[in-house]
Amino acid sequence: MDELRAVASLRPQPSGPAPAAAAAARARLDEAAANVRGARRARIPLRWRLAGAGALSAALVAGLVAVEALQDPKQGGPLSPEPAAAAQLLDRAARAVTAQPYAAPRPDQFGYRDVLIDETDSEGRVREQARSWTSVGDDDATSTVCSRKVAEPPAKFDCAHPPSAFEPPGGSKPRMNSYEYLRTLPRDPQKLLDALSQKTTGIGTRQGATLIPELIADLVANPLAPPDLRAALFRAVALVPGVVAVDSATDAASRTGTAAAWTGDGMRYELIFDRETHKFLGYRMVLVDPNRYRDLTGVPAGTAVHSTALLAGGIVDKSGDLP
Amino acid sequence: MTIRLDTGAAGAGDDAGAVQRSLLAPEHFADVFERHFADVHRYAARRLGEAAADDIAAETFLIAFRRRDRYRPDRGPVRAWLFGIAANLIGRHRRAEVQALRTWARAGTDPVSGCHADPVADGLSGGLGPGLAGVLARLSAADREVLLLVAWAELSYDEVATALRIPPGTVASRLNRARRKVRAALQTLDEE
Repeated sequence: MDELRAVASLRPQPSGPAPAAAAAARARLDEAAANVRGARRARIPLRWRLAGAGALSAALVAGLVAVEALQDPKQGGPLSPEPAAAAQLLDRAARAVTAQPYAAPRPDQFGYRDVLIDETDSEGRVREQARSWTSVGDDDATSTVCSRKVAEPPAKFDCAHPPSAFEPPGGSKPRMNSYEYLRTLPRDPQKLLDALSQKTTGIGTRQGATLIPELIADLVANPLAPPDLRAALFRAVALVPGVVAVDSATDAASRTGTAAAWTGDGMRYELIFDRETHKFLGYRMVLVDPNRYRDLTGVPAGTAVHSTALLAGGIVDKSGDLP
Repeated sequence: MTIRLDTGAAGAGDDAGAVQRSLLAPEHFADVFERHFADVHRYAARRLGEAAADDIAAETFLIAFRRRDRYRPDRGPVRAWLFGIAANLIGRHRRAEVQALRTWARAGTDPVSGCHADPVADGLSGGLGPGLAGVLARLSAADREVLLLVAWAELSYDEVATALRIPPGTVASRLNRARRKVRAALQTLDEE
């Protein structure tokens, strides 16, 4: 007789846990989960953000972004008396981005961006700058990310290839942060919104339209995103229920512009545009409900807990080149 | 060979996703619990009995939940990772387990399953149980773990390697050694 079969037949297969035992174990787990839930913001680790182009979208593929459900617009309160103001602002931004000359990049080129990231939580404030060169052909070996703390005197940039942590499970291509993927996203604003929402299905989705503000902010700043995609993203934001115009908002580089904003989960999300050119400047999250996040304890309402500034971006021939 | 009836394999494709989603939305870890709790419990119960299994299985999922940020999908399936945690907890009861196996070998009664004559499933004759229990008791803890993860939990070599964080080659050599000892004992018992 085969010895594995002999061992396998030794002792009867237990019938399984008693319902009471399973329920008790589940209750212990739920309690542990409840103690964590709401304890921290749904956020992407700074090191991921610093990886620049598409890191957030890649994180989403890995399932690391929680959906921010859009809440009743009444909760945040309209910030502009004119409801059409946000739509108008976003339309201008869309037209401004498509008015720029554009040539589709070659696979051997790179999407370059230079961003400032400013984060505040209970423990203090961190400011970092990241410059990234992302291969159009989705070649990790040539993509480079450099980052440094913003300090006086300026710190040196620390450069590396993007960490493999961005690989989605299974490593399937095209990846969500790749040019190939961005090229194929729908350009119809509603279909685009649906496509982005679909990516988040099952990730804490609640009733109503769902959207990931940070994903949108990440995509509009992605140098690999073609202008018509960026325009579609702006027009998609205009479809978000409760989106309003904010007269004055400041990005991480202290540049002031006007913003399209919406509120959800105790936070106001703002896409900031230059007043004159309607160029995208940056993104910020302003705390609305300070009691909602444990890692923001003591941070007053109205604080920009996360803000970015897109300092430069474009397509370049070589990793390390500037546009 | 027993057939695993539960949902361990079905829907396992999204296990890694559930673990990752639970990083920011902890309630998603419940999916992992629902898919694998019964399996882990059965394995622990078969090793140490129902009462110990209640604690070990519950503790396995609490530990897994706390360490969910350390789970790496590229290193193996969630199921194997969970069995690794359970195996570690079961290992803390090594003396009790070996004691029970020795009692079975000597007295002919299995204190864990409560069976007097051992099961005769798959044609294993009634007299072989105590003899095999004696062999299991004499195996090293490491060899016994590999053998029982394969024979009872029905993990593949790769899954055992993931669970115990050892190279697949080590799984193979431990399993071969354990099988050799079981085979030798079976031959002796057949001859008696």
